[in-house]
Amino acid sequence: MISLITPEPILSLTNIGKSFGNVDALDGVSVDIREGEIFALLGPSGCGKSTLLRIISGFETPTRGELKLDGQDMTRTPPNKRPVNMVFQSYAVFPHMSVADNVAYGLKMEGVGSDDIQHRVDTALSQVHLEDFKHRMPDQLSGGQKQRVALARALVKKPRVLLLDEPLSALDAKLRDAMRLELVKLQETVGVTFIIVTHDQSEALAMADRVAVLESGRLRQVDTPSGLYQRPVDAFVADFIGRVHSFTALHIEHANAEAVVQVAELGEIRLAMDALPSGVRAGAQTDVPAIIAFRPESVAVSLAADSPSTASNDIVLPGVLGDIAFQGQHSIVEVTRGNRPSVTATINHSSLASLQQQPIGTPVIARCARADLMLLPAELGHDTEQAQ
Amino acid sequence: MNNIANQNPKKPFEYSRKWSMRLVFIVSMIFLYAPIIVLIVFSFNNSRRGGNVIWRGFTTDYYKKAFANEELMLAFANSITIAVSATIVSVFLGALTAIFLWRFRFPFKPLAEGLVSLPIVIPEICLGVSLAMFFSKMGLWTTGDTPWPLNLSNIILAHITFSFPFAAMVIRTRLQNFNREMEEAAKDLGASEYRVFRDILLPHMRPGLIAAALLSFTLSLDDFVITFFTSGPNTVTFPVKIYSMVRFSITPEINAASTLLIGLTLLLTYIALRYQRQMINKND
Repeated sequence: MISLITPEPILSLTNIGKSFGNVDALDGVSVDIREGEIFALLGPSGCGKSTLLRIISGFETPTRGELKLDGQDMTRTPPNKRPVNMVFQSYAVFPHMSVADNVAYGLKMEGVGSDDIQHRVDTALSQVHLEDFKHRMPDQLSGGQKQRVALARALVKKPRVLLLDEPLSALDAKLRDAMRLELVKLQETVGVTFIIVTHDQSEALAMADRVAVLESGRLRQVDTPSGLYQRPVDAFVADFIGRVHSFTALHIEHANAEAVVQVAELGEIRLAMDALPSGVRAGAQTDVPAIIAFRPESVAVSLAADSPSTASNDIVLPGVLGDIAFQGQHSIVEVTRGNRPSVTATINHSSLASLQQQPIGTPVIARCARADLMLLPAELGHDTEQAQ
Repeated sequence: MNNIANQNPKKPFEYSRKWSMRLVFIVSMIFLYAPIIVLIVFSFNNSRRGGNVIWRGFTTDYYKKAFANEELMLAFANSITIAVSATIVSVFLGALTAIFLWRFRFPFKPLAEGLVSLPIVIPEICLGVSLAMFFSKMGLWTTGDTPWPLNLSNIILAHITFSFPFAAMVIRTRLQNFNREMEEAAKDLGASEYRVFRDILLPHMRPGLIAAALLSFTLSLDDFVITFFTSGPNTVTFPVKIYSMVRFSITPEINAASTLLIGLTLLLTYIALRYQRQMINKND
């Protein structure tokens, strides 16, 4: 849960832009990061999230914009003078130093006294459960242990912000799940603000208090994980966070308190204006390309024979039963619709029973309640196209 | 089971099982190493003439004689002095060149890279002649009465010219597998550029520096052609001295001296190879 008190931001980025030659890696990124939160920078590869991380750590200088840490301008401060530390993707543990020497290195650079170093190194190593590996050399450690060394080495400096670059990408699946929980626990213990860069949406949703979705160097949306999932601002975010089925909105009109949307395949759909998120209402009024989207979780599948013939408010998509994929707690049911894109539904086991007995090809109906429909602009930054 | 084993096609390295391949291998080895083995064996031959291929009994007299030969020992001391000086400078220059070529981007970089490695591919005789011309035209010949070790400076400069490109190449290979995140991690932890170099880059380069030093030393120690063109009558090196001894008469003393040179070169090559292997194994 997010606390309702919003303290002063620990890190504040204002209108950050970075160009490499003619290419804009980042453009107009503004975001405030709060003290003590786990903040994730999420996006597909090449979206600029790593560049943003390098700007925060000081390895890159932004072309435009301002970076403030604790209210102080740090836009051009070199990395060795910032109270920010980083856990690198390759961990970058120094191979010629023991675990203890690796962790002590940053303190030595600060000029901390040797007794104090000893004490702080021991504390940091116990925080990451590496007390017994103090005198090992890095080539005697596993990948997961090297990562812990990198974590301890950064945390021992008591940074204001800890940056983690794809912290779980190099670990195997089992270790990844364990480390995900452990990182969250560690953050709670040390209380340091974490900024995590990741391309894996499930990782970001599971770990972060807030997530920033980046695409093509622009910030699409900053929200809590559930906010991103339930109220995506555009088609990109909706599709990137979880899965959606989308249908192109051909025409949007607004009459009284309703938006009347002509949708390919689905016909006319009326949506209450005040039920829509604010970002969309503007889209509904103008003629921006938009989509109607719904998630597989909102879809119910029933046999065509059992279905009530009366028209309801639901979206109804007739089709035939395709594959059923068992996923443990739920199953994914595919409804194929000839040469049109098929629709999948995530269904729990009680609703599945009647379908399971039917052979593939049985006529079925996929339906989605109107309340679960999302009207979204197809692209938020449509002005970028004009700029190009 | 036997049938299956026989049906297996031969793997690439199993061609040594074919007698024809073995024959080629054995003949090649004989051509390569027989002269060297004969040279070493006959350094212990108790015969007045080194060209004598009749075994007349074992003796180590010629080793004693070689060690007692003052001119030969002076040449040996010269060789070692030249090799040590040339190695120190070569490794230093080589390291600077390697870091420069690895670290920076600049116009005409491929050209610069080519020029640095040019002394490796230029025929030694050309380099020797051009260096000799350079020293004489520039009036840089050291005269016979220059105090030691400055009288060797022509040869030392010549040896640096051809051995530093090798040093640069070896060190650069080592730098190639340096993880740049290591450098950034150190900076992130508060290290200055100098501390990054001292604490992170230099330890990483160390096996490369040692391998480069051994390589330069070996190259310098047994160089003949370039040395021949840049040495004066009073600045004779070990290989050049052996050559001049051969011109007067071939005695087992020459065999003994040559064997010493082979032994020293082998030892250094062995150490160099060991460090190179370490470079390949520990590349993270």
